[in-house]
Amino acid sequence: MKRIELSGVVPEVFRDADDLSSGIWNKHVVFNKGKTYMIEAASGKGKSSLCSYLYGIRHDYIGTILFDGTDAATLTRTQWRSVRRSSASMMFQDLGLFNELTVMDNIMIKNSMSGQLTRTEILSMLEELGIGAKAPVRLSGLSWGEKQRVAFIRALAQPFDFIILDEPVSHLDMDNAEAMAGILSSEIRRRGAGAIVTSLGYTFPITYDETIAL
Amino acid sequence: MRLVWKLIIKHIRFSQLAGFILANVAGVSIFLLGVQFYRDVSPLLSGSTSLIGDDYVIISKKVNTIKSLNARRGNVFSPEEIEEIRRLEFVDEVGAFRSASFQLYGEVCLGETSLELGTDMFFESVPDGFVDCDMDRWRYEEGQRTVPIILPRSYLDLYNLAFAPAQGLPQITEGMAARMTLILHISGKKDDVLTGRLTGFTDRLNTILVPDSFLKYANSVYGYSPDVPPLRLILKVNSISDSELTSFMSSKNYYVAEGSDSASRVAVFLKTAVSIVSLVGLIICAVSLFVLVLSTYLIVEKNLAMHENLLRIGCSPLDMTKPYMAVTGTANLIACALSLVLVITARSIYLDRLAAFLKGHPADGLTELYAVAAAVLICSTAIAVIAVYRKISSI
Repeated sequence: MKRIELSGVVPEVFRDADDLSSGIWNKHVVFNKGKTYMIEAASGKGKSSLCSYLYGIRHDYIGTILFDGTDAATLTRTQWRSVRRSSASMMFQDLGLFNELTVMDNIMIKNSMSGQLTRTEILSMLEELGIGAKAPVRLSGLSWGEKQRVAFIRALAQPFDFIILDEPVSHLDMDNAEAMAGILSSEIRRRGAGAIVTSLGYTFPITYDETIAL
Repeated sequence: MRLVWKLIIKHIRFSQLAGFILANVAGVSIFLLGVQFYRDVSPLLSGSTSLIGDDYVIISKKVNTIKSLNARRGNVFSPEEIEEIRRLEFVDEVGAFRSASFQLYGEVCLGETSLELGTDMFFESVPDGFVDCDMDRWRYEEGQRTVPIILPRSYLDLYNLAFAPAQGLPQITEGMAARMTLILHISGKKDDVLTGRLTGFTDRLNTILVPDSFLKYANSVYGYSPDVPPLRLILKVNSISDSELTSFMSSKNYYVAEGSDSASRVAVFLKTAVSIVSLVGLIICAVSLFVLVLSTYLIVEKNLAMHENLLRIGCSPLDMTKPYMAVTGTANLIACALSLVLVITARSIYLDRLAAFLKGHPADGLTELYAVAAAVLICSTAIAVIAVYRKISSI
């Protein structure tokens, strides 16, 4: 997937809002592969909704989202699955991890679908983010900040043209946020992928090609 | 997908599965036992040496006043009617009863001594194939002065249990009866005296029976009319329990002799009883399957977030159904295997008990039982899997 295009997209709940001054809602916006985008907004402006529309989890919007010219609303469940397996990856705000599994298994459950990363690569990323020793530990024993790092690595454990990160560093200190930003920058550069990062204002420290206020 | 399995199986309650297996064992066992019992017992209802009644029926036309006034002509079977019956699918052979067309007085003797016991009597015959006795002793050749006779066993009982005590006469065993002779005083076109020898007793035919060859000859020699159309027919049918037989007979207003169709009634009762038992088994199976599906639904509902997450990271509903398929398949397999063990054990017990009746009916193999069990296994697993797949797809 090379291009995501939004035309007149508005969440249904904002349909009747008169004071919609947004850089995305009801506008024409294009996300290109290879570029990085920061979506900035206060709470309740619909950041997570946007991510969910782009990832096909929710469809409660009006307007059109086009993936390389194809209307996302026309995709079947199977097509969405293939988008999620090979074109778009997402780090969810609620993380969507499995407390019953270990840290390593949480990443491998995704990685095993594509074999994108080797076990050594995963371990070295965990090390880089300061949780290498937690690899065999059950996820339920980790703090939210640690879990965020696991969810981040899991989002990398698949092929993608776009990676969507929904408030990825909300619970991280600056050092860890920078370590994560370093990994992301090198991964998107290596894969030629695009990144869409949402933030409450607490910025994920990578270089952005464009910053849009939602 | 190993991790998807690991994750899902962690949430399956094995105590619930054990409950399902127990309930399913009960249902499947009852169903399979019903089916197997029916298979084991049905040859007794329709086989060549049928236990419950023979596969012979004797039919006559219902006697009604107008026709019976017309002496013999009203109730006889015409050659066309006999031919129609012969053509029926469930009829193997048809034999006409031949009646004596002369008068007969019989006098009972033991050896050479007359017991001074005599009565007017009658003779009938059926083709030799319908007679259940030793054919060597049954043979009659023209001109022979001794005639083999078969009496209904009920006549002997009637004599021993009712007539003899009342008249102060000795009771007669079958062995003694075989040593008795009958002096047969024949009067018709020509009078004659012949000797009758009791060859045996029968439960099948309620008449005084002589060889067909004798009666054919005797009617031509002594009778007023050599060819008397038959009033009764004996049919060899391939399944006495066939309801077609019953409906044909009633449609033609034919009367099936009492006793011959009791087998048919027993068979219908047995069929009904076995069907009810099997149905109960099937209902238990269905209920246990319903409980299994429901408890799987509950697992999915309870761990909705986990299932949603799996779908969000790109798992297909089919990938997520497979662990459930393996678990329900295994549970069903265990239930079926246990049921088969139970049924085979129960069968060996009832076969022992029925051994006396089953002589000459070697029990069939269990291939069909295994096939039915496999069908139950496949169907119930398929139903459970489809239900779970639909549930997961609906998330």
